[in-house]
Amino acid sequence: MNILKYIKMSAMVGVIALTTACSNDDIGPTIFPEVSDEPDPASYTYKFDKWCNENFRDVYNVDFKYKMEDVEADMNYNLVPATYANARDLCLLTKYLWFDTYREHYLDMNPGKTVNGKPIDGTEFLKQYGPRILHLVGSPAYNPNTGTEILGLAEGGLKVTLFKVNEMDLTDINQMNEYYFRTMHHEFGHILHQTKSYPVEFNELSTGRYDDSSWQSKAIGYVASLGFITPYASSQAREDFAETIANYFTRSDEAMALIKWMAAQGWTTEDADDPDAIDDPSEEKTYYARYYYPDESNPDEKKYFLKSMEKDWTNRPCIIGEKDEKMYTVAEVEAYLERRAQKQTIYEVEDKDKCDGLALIERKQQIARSWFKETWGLDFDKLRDIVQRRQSDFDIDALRASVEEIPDPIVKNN
Amino acid sequence: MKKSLFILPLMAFAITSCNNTEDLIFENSAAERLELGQKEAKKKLTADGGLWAMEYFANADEPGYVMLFRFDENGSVMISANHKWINNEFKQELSLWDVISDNGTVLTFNSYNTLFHIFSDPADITGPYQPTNPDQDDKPIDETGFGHEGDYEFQIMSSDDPNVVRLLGKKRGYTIYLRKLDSQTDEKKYLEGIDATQNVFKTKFKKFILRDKEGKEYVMENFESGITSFYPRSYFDEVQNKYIKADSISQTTSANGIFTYDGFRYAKPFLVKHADDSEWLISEFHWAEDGTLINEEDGLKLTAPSPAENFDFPSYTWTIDQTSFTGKFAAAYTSAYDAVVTNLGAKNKIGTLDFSWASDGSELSHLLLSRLGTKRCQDFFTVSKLKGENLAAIYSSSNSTAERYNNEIPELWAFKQLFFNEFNMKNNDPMTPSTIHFSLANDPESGFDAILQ
Repeated sequence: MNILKYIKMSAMVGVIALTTACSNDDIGPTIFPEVSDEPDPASYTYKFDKWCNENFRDVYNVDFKYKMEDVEADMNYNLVPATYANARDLCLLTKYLWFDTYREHYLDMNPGKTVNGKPIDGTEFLKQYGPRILHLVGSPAYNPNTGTEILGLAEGGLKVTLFKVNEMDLTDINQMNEYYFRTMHHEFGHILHQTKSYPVEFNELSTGRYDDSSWQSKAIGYVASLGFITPYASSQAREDFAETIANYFTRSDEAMALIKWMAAQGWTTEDADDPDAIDDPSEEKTYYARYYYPDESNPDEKKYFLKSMEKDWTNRPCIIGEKDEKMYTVAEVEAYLERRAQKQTIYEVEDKDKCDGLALIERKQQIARSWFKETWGLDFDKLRDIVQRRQSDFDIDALRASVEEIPDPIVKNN
Repeated sequence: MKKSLFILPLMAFAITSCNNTEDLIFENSAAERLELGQKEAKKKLTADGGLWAMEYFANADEPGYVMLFRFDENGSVMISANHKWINNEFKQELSLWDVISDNGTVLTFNSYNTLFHIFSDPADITGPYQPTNPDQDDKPIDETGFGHEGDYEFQIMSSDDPNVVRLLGKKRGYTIYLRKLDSQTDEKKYLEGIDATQNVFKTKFKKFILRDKEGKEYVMENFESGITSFYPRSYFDEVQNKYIKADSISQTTSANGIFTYDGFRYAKPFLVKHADDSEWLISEFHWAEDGTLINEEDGLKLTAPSPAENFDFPSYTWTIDQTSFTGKFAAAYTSAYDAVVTNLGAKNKIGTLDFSWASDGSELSHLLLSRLGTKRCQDFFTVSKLKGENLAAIYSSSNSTAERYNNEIPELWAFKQLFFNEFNMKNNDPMTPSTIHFSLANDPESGFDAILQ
């Protein structure tokens, strides 16, 4: 029997079914119960739910899931919901630092312009390319096998999950930046490139240097010298791209300058001088950028110092001196090295990786800059300026007030 | 042939497709039934003030914890707790709850509550109760990524009882009960009441005796921890006319449970081994009026060991209460006391008297330890008829100090000799007896109390 016969037979069954269907069968309106879109006026969370509807759902078609549903998360992880208070604050900040950033940029680019009587404020862009679901989770998603934790996820260009919400400390801007703001822009970067690909050239810049299995054991200074803005960026190209965007937007000038300084250094482990040392890629190593000879007459004995750290307890990248001195700016590092140089001769570790890390980082930023401009019509640097300003000037009390200003519900008496 | 095969099913379809008399299994659609289930569950949980006691189990390695939940119709819930992970302090915290449709009707606590979600938090467990690895010198175990691994979303299982909701942990599958409380219940006092029942077992008594309906006995240990162990006792089987020997190592089984307001419930019924290696299930105990724990349905009764067993346990020292002497003991004590003061001075009066244990030669032996000032007198004795509530103590020897003063002060020796006698013994509490009352078998009015130290 050929395919045509199958089609014919199916059609026949359909005809008979139609002709024999009972004339008084009542299909009815819907099998699903009718659910109101409006928040329950009697609900404890009425004002915030209404605020979410008005500011995310109705404007951007985004469902902000701050009440955790475990089916929305990977069931392989042990996760907990966010506290209501932290979820509310992060929701407010998500709008202010992410959605309103793009809104402000659109309004700056199109002053006074309207379409169909509405200002060109990026609503359509965010509605079309923004996530459909924002999901908050109280804990990180720990991976006990690698000792890593997931701070954010973007899935299929539709859903962004932000983790670790219960550790949010509004008084610590560096922590907020590290855990949440950078994660937002990182995940949005994923959504954008999942929608419109970034140039292939980006993937080729660091071919052969990505390491998906042991990136977490590498120091920021070492990976920067290989052209990666963070250790996570060195895991794979798409993470590199998202990290390039997120770090450019959210890192302060000082932090960015310090990472670029790291990128221009040579780094080595103490084992590098030992021909018998076993190179185990899974083992965490300490990399140094400077050395000296404790005994100038003995050239076989070097003392290495000057380490890098992606974040210390202040959640900032830093350089660590020989006696655990922490330095957060290039000026502080240079002053430290100058003081050391007055006491003894210090030497730069030779940069043997055959890779101009600084040039690579800047090239990657340039590719992202062009991609934003040419693909999205957005100015990478102006977006950064807006993010930087908003990160430093947000007023959480004012943002909270926008929820409290929602009128009390009118509860109907039956 | 082929054509007729096609036509047959079509005919059958045509004939049967218009049957309007089919029975309806459900009146509503699946979605409508789910919505109805949600509404009914919410109504049940919030009715009459909405106060419930949750008997919560996070995992198989720790006991259950009772927490109180006051469900509000507005979607908030006030959780009260005083478990050890919040330093046993009574705390209350407001968070959110909902009943959703997800794999059935599901009760979810969807905003973080530090009192409750601590059991689901994947952070490392730290503090005084941090788990350690006994195989690695009690090195702390890194629980990062796991935590207690408890559920916070539960399938609501059907229940006709308006005062009970049976929940099934969605991820781990533990059965968890919500039991309705009077809305006027003081949460703090309620939880303190449960603590009080648990504290009954935080004594020096580490062993309890379970008797089944056939009279067979089992030793239960670690009750106060909430993770109990059972092993059977040997017994003589009269039917088989043979001695059934039990093994306290290979036949030990253990399981976690929870202290509730009215007793103790296991996380799930668990298997206890008979001495003959056959197995039976045990599920819960309730407080009986006499202060023991029972399971009427299964004919189980949990009590303290008999006075004879307690007396014969080398870890215990029983101090004789010198204000409790009656009859012959009272008279002899007064006489001995005065004689000691007369002979040795007030500084060397009779001090503490203990039933204790010490080495008499090569063997550990019972002894009556008496103090005359700083002098320690040891009078050793053996026991016979030591069973149930009966004891016969037989003097065997004394150390040199005791021997000297027994000879020098006859009133003292006469007093001590009363202890080497036949006694009836009674526990002062059926579950945790801190005192045993001794009375002479031939003169019940003469006796004394001994208090566990």
